Amino acid sequence: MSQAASGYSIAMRSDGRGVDRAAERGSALVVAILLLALAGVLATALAELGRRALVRARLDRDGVRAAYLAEGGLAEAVAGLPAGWSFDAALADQPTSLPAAGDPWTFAVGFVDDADDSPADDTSDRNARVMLRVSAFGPAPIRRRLEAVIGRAPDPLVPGALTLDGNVGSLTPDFLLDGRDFDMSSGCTLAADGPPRAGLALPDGPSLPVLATPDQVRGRGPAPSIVRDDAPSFDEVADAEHAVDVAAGSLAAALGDAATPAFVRVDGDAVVDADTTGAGTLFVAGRLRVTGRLAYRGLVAAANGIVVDPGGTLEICGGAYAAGAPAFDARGPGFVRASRTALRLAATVAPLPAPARVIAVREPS
Amino acid sequence: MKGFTLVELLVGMLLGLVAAAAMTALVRVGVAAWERAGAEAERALEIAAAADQLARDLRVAGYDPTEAGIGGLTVTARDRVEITADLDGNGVIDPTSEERIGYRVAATSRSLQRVVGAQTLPILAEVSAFMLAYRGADGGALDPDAAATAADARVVGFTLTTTDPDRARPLHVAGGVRLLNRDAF
Repeated sequence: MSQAASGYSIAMRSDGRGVDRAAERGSALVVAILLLALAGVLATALAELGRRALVRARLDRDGVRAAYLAEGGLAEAVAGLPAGWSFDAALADQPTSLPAAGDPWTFAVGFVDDADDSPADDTSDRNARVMLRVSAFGPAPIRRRLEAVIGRAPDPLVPGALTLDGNVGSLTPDFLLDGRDFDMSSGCTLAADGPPRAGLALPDGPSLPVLATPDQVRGRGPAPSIVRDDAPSFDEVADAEHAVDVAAGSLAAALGDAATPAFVRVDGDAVVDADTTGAGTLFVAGRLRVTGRLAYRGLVAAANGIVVDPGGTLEICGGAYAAGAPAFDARGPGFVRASRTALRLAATVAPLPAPARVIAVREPS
Repeated sequence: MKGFTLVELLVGMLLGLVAAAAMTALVRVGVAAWERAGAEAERALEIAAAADQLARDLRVAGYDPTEAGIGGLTVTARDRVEITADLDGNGVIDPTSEERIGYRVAATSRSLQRVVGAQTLPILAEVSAFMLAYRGADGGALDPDAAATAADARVVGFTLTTTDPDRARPLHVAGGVRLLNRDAF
């Protein structure tokens, strides 16, 4: 095949060497290189935009995840707080400042006292209210924070109409426990739609009492309404500063009323040997023995048992708590009827144990 | 030495012009794509920032550390909402401060406005849709215009749409915010 027929030609220089004329004159290579460079710049720029969008999306996603982690941390921290009144234990155990960084998908919790005393004592809670701070961490620099005001629920933690930290000695057929909600203001009659409690709350261990009929203990669930539940601590009630302390022995005939409830604390065993009425919180550091008649609206608590003698009558609208062996021994008639309003009245005068609750939440700026 | 002929020179110049024109067109397309991508990214950032701001304000609605009865939502509607929060914890809402914040779209400027006290701050331009939905404790939808919605709402959902004035391509963001101060814990 000749050169002409093959579609190309070779120009001959005077020195006889062949030169590719097309390569000498063309600009295709330069143009191609420029285009490739331009395409490379554009591709790099688009890749950078895509990378930035991806980073942004990851930051958004991680931020949302960290926000939910902070909410979960707050809920977990509040759920882990024991029932009580003050938050002294939380202030003592928890750090007051939070780290600025942490491992991804972890959270840190800290408690801070509010301005409830002067001069300020950051380790003592005097108003049952603290600040809870939560920091949730994602991959750096992701961090979401929450700040919550924590207080106590208005309803004291009294799981049963009668809550015991011990056993029942005897329970005569004339003594009734009722965990349904009763209205304190109308002679302790059944309320229309109040939330029911158990009739009797016992800790694990003590045997169930012998009942004349299942309906002797009514309340939440089928009769007999008895639950196994740890009794809350009444240590803060025993140690409260603002109680009206009375000496051991016979109690006065009047221990407050609904308009002026009282927080009465007996520093030993107490005896009701007459017709006694009261409202608020009655705490007996020893044993409460009823040989007369005690009609009370609110909470009656005894650290070493409640005994109702055969000639005595005990009528409580609200709730009762007792510890000891036996913690409760009713050989006379009466009742303990749960009443939410009466327990709230009791909580207004005494530091009754209550669950922690979140009052207000915000994201600190 | 042999030089270029006139024809070669003219053809070369013509080819050069064609190549330059092609490159110019290509560069213009590339730059336009670059600018468009940048503008879209900026719009995405702006709408995300506006949604984030709205979500943060809604989350703190009803912040009431003194339990003074701060409601949280004082205005509920399909296209606007007003939020109150006792941020300084003094028990009252200062209506001239960040304790009262409203969101609405201005009819004339089509901007999403964040109304803080007496100040009106446009935070997002070219808003073509701003819709709010309210859900109660049971998850059921509430009538935005009903008087009880402000008290019953537990979740506020929102949809925000901006429309590019040049390309008319809408950009959406939607979300739902649980009101942390409404029995969330």
